[in-house]
Amino acid sequence: MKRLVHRLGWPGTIALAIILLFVLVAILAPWIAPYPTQGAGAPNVAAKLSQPSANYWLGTDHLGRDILSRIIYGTRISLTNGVLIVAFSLLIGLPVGLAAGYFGGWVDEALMRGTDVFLAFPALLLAVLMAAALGPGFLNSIIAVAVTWWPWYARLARAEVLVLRGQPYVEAARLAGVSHQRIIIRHILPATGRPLTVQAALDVGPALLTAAALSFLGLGVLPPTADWGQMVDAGRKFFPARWWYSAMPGMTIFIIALAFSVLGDALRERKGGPARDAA
Amino acid sequence: MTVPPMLDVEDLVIRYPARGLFAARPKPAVNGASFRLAKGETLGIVGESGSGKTSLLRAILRLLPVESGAVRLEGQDWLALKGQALRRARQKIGVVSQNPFLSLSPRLTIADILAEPMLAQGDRQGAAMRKKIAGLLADCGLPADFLDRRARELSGGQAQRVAIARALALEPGLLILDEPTSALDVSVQAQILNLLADLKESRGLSMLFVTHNLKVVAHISDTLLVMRHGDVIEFGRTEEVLRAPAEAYTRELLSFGRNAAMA
Repeated sequence: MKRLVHRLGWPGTIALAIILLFVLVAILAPWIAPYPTQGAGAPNVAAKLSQPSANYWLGTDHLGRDILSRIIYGTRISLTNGVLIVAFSLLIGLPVGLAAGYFGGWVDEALMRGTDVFLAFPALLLAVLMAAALGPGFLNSIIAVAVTWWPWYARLARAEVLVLRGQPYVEAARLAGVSHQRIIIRHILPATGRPLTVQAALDVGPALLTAAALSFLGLGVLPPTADWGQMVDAGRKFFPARWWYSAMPGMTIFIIALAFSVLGDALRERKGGPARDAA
Repeated sequence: MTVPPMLDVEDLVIRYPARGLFAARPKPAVNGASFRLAKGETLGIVGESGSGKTSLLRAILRLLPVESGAVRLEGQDWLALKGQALRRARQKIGVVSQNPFLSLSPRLTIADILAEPMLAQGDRQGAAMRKKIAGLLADCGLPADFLDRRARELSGGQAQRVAIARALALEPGLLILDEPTSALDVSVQAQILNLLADLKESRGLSMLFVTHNLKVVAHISDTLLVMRHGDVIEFGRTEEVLRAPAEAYTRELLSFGRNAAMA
């Protein structure tokens, strides 16, 4: 614990704790939500739009569902969104970047100019267009964001490989007649893995933020599944008189996005540990 | 002579591409190098940094493209090999580079490092390979319990011995050494040079020894090649080059060697 605080600093440690707390909440949602059935979507019209109170800590929505329970259930959607977006992006970006960096020459040119095409579009606009074309839904919104996301991993992986490719031990493997495929799997991939996974873990935050933006625009998961972005959108009609409806999920998004960003800064400036293996 | 030389280099020209479309063509890094390395002999290539010796070496290793000239390995056209064929043929040349801590993977154990070339050439993992790896370690003067260690746990001399063992894993006829002792301290240098001399004897190796230290190479090589500014300025039997250096530059290198010896 002391070592963690030393390496990440207090803000980083707190941010990490908040993120882990959200993960825990997502896993335990049915057991810790005050009204699990409402969290899952069952209406409770008698108590609609009630203020935050002892019964409903964060108030209720227009169908009387407890907002706290909805937010807790929404954590599941948001985190899976973030993780899956990053995973899909890695799945495309990593091989592209590895191939471009390792083989160089025209392979590099072709692949990187291809990724440039995707980078040339404003990311959110492209995501919205993709989501609109694919139609709303959980998986579609993930694909839509991943399409705008993978070029960054391709570029990152390529940069790492360019450094590694010139390492004498990689050259030694080549000179011993080791095949490209084997060199990439045995030497390049393990060394690229670490910086890339750190980056990917941090990107879960911005990724779920983008996913929340899509669902705010009505392009994410469909009701009655609870989702933060969609809750903020639904609450707009009752704002500012019933402010808690939009504000509570909005605050949640704000907290988790901030936590990821603070943790990212802390990891970039961390002390007492090399960012990667020496040489 | 009926037996082709181990390595026969003829009029090799290496030129790096011009930077930019209208830039002048740069001077060649190696300007028409020609030499032969007979089987079982050691050729020392000497030159200061920037003399083109590294470019020459990288071209022979097929890491750099060649502008013109020929390289024949045991009579075979070495520059014509491509792809899979080149990959297979690489087992004929073992390579040891300057810094063993950079040339040995930080992630693999010594056993994995030594197995890699054999696996690459299609050998199967198993008792036979383990035995061969143990033999390699012993030949290079290392105890068998090094197998599970990683390079960073070894001393510079030990790590360089591992690198030499790896270079010999596929039983190459030619060993190419790129400044193999310059990252080591003096007493260890001598041990490594002795080891190389022993291995050359017991395995009938031909060696190409590149260094900027004329003293080291005079000790171990049969023939000597001196490079400067991309040109081969001297090539002959070591004793002759040392006794009667034809070029002022070689004399200069030699006198540096003497001063260093006296110091």
